[in-house]
Amino acid sequence: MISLVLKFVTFSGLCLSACAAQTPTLAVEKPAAVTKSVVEHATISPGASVSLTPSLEESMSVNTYNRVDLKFNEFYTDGLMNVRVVPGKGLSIFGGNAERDFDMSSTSLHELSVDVLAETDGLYFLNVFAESKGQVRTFSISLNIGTVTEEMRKSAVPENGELRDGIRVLEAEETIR
Amino acid sequence: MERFHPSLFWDPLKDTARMKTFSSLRFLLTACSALALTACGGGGGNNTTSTPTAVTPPSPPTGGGAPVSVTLSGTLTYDRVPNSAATGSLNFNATTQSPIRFAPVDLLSGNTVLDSTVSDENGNYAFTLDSGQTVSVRTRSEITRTTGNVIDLQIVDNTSGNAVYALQGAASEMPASDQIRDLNAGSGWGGSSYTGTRSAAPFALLDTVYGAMETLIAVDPEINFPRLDVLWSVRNRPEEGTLADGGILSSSFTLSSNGTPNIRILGSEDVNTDEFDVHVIVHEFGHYFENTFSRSDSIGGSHSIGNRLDARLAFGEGWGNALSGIILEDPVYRDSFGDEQSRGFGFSVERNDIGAEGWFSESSVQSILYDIFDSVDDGADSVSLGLRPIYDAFVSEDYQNSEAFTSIFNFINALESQADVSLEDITPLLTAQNINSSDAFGAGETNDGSLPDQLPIYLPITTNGTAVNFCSVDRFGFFNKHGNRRYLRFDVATARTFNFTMTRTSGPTNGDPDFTVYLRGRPVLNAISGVSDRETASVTLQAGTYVVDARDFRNEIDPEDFDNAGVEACYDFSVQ
Repeated sequence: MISLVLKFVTFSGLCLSACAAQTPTLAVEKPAAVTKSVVEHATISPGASVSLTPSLEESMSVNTYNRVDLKFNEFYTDGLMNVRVVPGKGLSIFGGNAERDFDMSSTSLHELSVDVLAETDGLYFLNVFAESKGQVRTFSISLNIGTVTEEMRKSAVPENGELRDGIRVLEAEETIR
Repeated sequence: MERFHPSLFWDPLKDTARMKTFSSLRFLLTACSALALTACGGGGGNNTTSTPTAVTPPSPPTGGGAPVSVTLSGTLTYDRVPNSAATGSLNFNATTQSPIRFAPVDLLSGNTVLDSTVSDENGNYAFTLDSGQTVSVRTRSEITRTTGNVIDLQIVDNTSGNAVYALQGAASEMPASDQIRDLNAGSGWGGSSYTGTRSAAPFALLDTVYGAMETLIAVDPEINFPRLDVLWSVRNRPEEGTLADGGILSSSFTLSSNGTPNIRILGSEDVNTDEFDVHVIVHEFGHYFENTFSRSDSIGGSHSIGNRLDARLAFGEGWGNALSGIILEDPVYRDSFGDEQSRGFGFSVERNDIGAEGWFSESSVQSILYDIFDSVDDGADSVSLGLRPIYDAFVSEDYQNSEAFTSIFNFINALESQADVSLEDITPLLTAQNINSSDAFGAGETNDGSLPDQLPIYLPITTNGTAVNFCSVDRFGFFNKHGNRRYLRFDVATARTFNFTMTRTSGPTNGDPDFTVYLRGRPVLNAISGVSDRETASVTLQAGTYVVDARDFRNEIDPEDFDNAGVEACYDFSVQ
């Protein structure tokens, strides 16, 4: 059953794009829940027309392989789609990196599963690169492995510079003469 | 490298104010000290560590007297990392320094701002202050201009409450002589990974967007730029999530919940960083331009240059691609990604043969728009009109108030109304891309994009209750692809209440018909209930020409995620 919530979000994008430069008077007959309060429409940057749906285990443990299922949907009628799966720092994939070509003329599902391992609790990233017809689409999948604290989440990607009084201060290479 | 800087040599004849406090002896000592530093390569040698540690030249003795007025000046730069022309990857070996232009510069004592100025077009700044103070110099990643061409642009960290970025030097005591402090925002690249602060990124973004604005100022000297926020963070990664967490999926243009236009830029090392991918940035700026100065009916979403797309999306994306080539004077769009940012992909907007040509193709749109602009004739291109007529068409009342959706059709229709533009020049470009109409509604178009049901572009419908039939199909994908949606058009002569009905006539059961009615790009009725196979709604409409976007919701969603998604279903649509 397709939820109305999903329809709501989908419509919001449609609505926003149509009236980005103006404030429309939207006469909504039904459902009453539809408003313009959510404006998450985005014009995605150019790249391969590929979407990825990851499927993760409900909980992932350290020091054991955890399965990640990846389903790809591409919008081409022929050619090959190359998929590369690369573990981020601290993560390893059973057998190393995973790479596979999919026939885009096939109507069968494009599925790839990998087994990932981390030795300590934390937030890790599984990076995916899909290339079709010379265009690329990148994906990053967050994996919470073990017991993940807020501090671990923050340290997964170190801060750039320092936040001081609402300003993110970056280091300068300074020459004084 | 040592550079001679004239300000090291104070000319007392040019500054009588200083003569009151500056003794001849002190001047002599200062000049000699500076000369020695310059000649011997000492003192302010290159300090390019990643920490803001200052190397301060020896100060002339102050004699324990009162502070003297001195000048603190310098140049602000950032590391510009280019894309490899061959691969599109980032070429860190070719890094150069570019000026941080027109950015605010603060003189700080601790956290207190003593003075502020704005860097010039070469990144230069200067302050006058008393010697003996311990100060630091800070610039911010924003351009705020309230006179001339108004600009309100800032680069912020969306993972830190939209904090603006700042580049700050070390605190050190001002000697009793003029001093130069040059600040560079380094890329942070350590040879095979980022090992230092990625200070250059926000300033590269600032400069790229400002450069795009400069191009538009040259076309329209009266243009003013409303607020634009560019959201960048090292945590911005290609994953669906929350903005505060960096889950932005892709570099993109969108409007924030308060309506502020924003460009979101990826910054995920070894995955996808776009801060130096200038074509990506200008492409998104093209969407800002449409939304701010013109009109866009694009529905957004995933797309590619080879796809058959909804006409509104195809036009917006083709425009973004063409504009990147126009502004950067480089028709090859490049985007880096991958380990060490060492891979890339790209395409040329000059190419005329990418995928199926037509009004549903962003590559057809980019080819036409770039050919109208450029001075290089190729294929059917014999025009060289520059950016002006394209800009004028975008901002024209005809285009902005068009009853048709924004697409190549109503854009060309508006373009042909511009001075110095002739249909004879443009038609060959359209024909070469298998676009056969320059009517705003695409009347007479013969290219159906392999879906005969998609012609005419706008299915005419009366308001007497007579139904028209059409289909919503997933042949080329979902949500925003060619055939997912059908455009309809009807006229209202007199204001009254109208009843709309959309009923499934063929295709899989449990259909979910949805439609939206628009007047000049504004939605006036949205009917998206979950009732199976039939959608009804009513609304009072004023006189005018209305268009409808009708679709089966099962073609709006990813069939990988929903079992019943992805269908070929047909519907009757009536208005009464």
